Amino acid sequence: HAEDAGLPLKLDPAIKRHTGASEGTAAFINAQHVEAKKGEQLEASGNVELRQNGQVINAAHLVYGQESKDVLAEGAVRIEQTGFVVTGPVLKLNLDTDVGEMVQPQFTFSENHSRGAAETLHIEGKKNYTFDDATYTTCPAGNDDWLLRVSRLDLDRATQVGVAHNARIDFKGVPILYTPWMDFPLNDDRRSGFLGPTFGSTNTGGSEFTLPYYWNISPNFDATISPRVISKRGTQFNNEFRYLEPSYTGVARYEILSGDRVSNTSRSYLALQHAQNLGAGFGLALNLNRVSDDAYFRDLATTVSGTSQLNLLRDGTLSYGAGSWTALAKVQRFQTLQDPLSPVVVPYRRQPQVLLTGQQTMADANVNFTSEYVDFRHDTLVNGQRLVLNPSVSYPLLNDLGYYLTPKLGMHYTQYRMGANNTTAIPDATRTLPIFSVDSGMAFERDLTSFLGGDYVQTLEPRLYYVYIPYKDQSMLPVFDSAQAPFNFGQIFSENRFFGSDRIGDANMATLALTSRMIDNEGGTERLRVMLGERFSFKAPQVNLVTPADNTNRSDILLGLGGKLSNAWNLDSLVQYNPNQTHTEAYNVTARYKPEAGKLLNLGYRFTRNTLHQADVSSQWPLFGRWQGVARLSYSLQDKRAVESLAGVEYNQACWTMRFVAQSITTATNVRSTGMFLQLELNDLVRIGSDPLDALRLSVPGYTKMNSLPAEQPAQGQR
Amino acid sequence: CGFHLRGSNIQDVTFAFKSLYLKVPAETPFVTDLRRALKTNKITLAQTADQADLVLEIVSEQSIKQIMSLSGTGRVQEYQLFYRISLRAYDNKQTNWLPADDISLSRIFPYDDTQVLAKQQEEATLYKDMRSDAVGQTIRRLLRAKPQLETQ
Repeated sequence: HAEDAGLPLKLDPAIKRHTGASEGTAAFINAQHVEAKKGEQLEASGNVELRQNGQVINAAHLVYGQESKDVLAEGAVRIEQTGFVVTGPVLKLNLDTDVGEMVQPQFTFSENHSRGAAETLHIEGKKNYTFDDATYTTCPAGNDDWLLRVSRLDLDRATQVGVAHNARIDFKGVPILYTPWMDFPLNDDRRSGFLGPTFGSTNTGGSEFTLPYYWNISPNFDATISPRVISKRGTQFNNEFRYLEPSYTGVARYEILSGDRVSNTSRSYLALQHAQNLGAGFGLALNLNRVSDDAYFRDLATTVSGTSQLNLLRDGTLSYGAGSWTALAKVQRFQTLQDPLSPVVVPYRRQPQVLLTGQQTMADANVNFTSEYVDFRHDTLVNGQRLVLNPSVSYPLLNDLGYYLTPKLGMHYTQYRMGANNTTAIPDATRTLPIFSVDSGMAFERDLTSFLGGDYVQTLEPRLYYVYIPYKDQSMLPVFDSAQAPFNFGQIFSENRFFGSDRIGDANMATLALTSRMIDNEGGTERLRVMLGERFSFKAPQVNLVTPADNTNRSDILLGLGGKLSNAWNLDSLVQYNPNQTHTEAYNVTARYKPEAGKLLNLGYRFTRNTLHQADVSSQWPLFGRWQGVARLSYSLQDKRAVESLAGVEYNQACWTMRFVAQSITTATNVRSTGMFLQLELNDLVRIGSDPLDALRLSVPGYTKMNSLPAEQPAQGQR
Repeated sequence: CGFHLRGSNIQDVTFAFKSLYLKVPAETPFVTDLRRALKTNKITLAQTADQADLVLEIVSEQSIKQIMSLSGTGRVQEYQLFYRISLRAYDNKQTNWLPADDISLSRIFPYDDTQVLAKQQEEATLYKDMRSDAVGQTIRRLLRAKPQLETQ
């Protein structure tokens, strides 16, 4: 006995968790004063320390029965296990059975910085602690911003789970939530549990409440189930399942509001995104979306990305890639969600589309082959099958650092076979057109050492692009998937003036362009780029899809300016000037200022004649103290009103986060959706999940997550 | 005015390495285009990192599509397409040649729900355009890559 006391042990602050038997392991006592009483009772006093496998007990005074193994510790008693400390005035504990009791205990977990207090603690084994009439919080000591008050709290140290019975959450002294049962993690592991509840109010649904539950099914499979109680409508269940396996991954979403009290119908949304690697170069992708009614998103979605959807995609793709060849088979259709006041024509279905492309380099020549077969189907418009074969070869006659010249010759063959709904008797047809183009350019450079405090190279890159396609009357051909290409820098260097193969625009035109770059010699970052370009037709183009036809010999002039001006500033701007009408067709400028993560300002101003005139501001900015703001405003100068206005603030305290979002968005002709949402997140009690600011973050390009905690959904394993 | 044909001046920047190993998360079209551009620039592509003078790591490749403007009826009038390549370059002594950085590009994508099928092709073309732009910028950065002085 005395030899036990005489062994001075160094207290190792990082006690390793031992596996194997803990019962019956020798106990070591160290104290200022130790004496054996009545032969078998040991009494220690003054900085008593009792060490037993896996735990250390400190007290001012301790009595230990060597036969019974009963410990009675008094005066500033402290039990310490790995990452877990309990203190209290008195402890009774049997070292054999690890059964014991402590009154007025206080406890702390270092792993998630949580702490609490209780009336009594019942110890039932080293890993099982039960507190009666307890409080629990992750707030730092001295801060009781939120408290979980429970009649009983079970802490399972083996599984690191806390279970609360008859739990009430007090926030700033005000009870906000009651639950007969809840569990929460005692560490940072991904675990099932509730996510932060959201209170809200919208003009279409009245007040609402969402309480998502995150279900960690397995490392590769999880689910989030979010019941959303909407006062005017009923309860909507939003469910999301995610899976991630080595060869396939996907997300399934199912939203259901059975018996909407406003529309008196059941409303649902089903979405599946699946990608699979079938091996040997084969791949499969599915993107399926189905919604019960046209107004579903307008009525129930809270984000612009939801409410703005008009054509919901439904397609499946089987792809194959082998070296320079790729093949793709796709079946695609859309569900068109009509706005009753501005209906649109439903797009064609592609049932199926088969694509085969190949690219090969042969003795410096680049040989390309593109082919496509589509069976276009439509309920009311003319049906038809279209086959396109487009082989081409390009050969770099000159290719050097300072100059290049690459001619290209291709053949475009199209065959149509008309099907059902052919009311205007469009004939079957074939069209064969040669396409010839030459791309050439030069690059000049000059050093601008010590220019504006930097070391730059300025380039001057003239480019000449010529394309020739003979004219062929195509007015009798159907239009399945084609449209006039918008005029931009991409378009002036392309062969066809149309997207889609239904029209191949006749061309005898040259594009002249000049690019000048400022390249930072330190790292090669492009600091500034100025581009000027115009297209000239030697013969006015005749093939057109829209009227008035774009049949002038001089195109608009494009002037673009942009770059990464500094590490904080990004600029992009474009002016489109019409020399024939001597007016500006379009201009836009977008600037981003991001001096550091969490500070972001986006500015945009856009004008397109007769179409668009809009100003945009979006920002993420630390406000004051612990407040952070996110906002976006899109103002239509054409309609003289805001199309989209969203603002949110986030307040981050040591152990909780409060978010508030207010928004107003246009969802259909003369229909607006307005709403406000409030979310309270109690750190480590309710798990961090999706929150109402998500929508806002999506509308602010460049947003950085400031929460130190992983605020997106817990990551799946194997990522 | 000081301009000269690129490559005609002896002081022009040239690649400070001969062979390169491309460390990529997946064989994407960007990687294919980049390989082709590197071959055009007469850079030897090494099979392993050990055999190469320089390792170019494509850390991530991101395509993001965001709604830019809504019409008065709540439909999408313009999207903004973002394309971002995160990259860094280092040699086999783990010395940085190009510290981790992004090449960020964006394009405005005018949208029209009545032309969905044509717009799908336009979107693909815009991404392709940004991709070739990013390849060009990657090459220009590699041209100026050099061992960075030890920081701290």
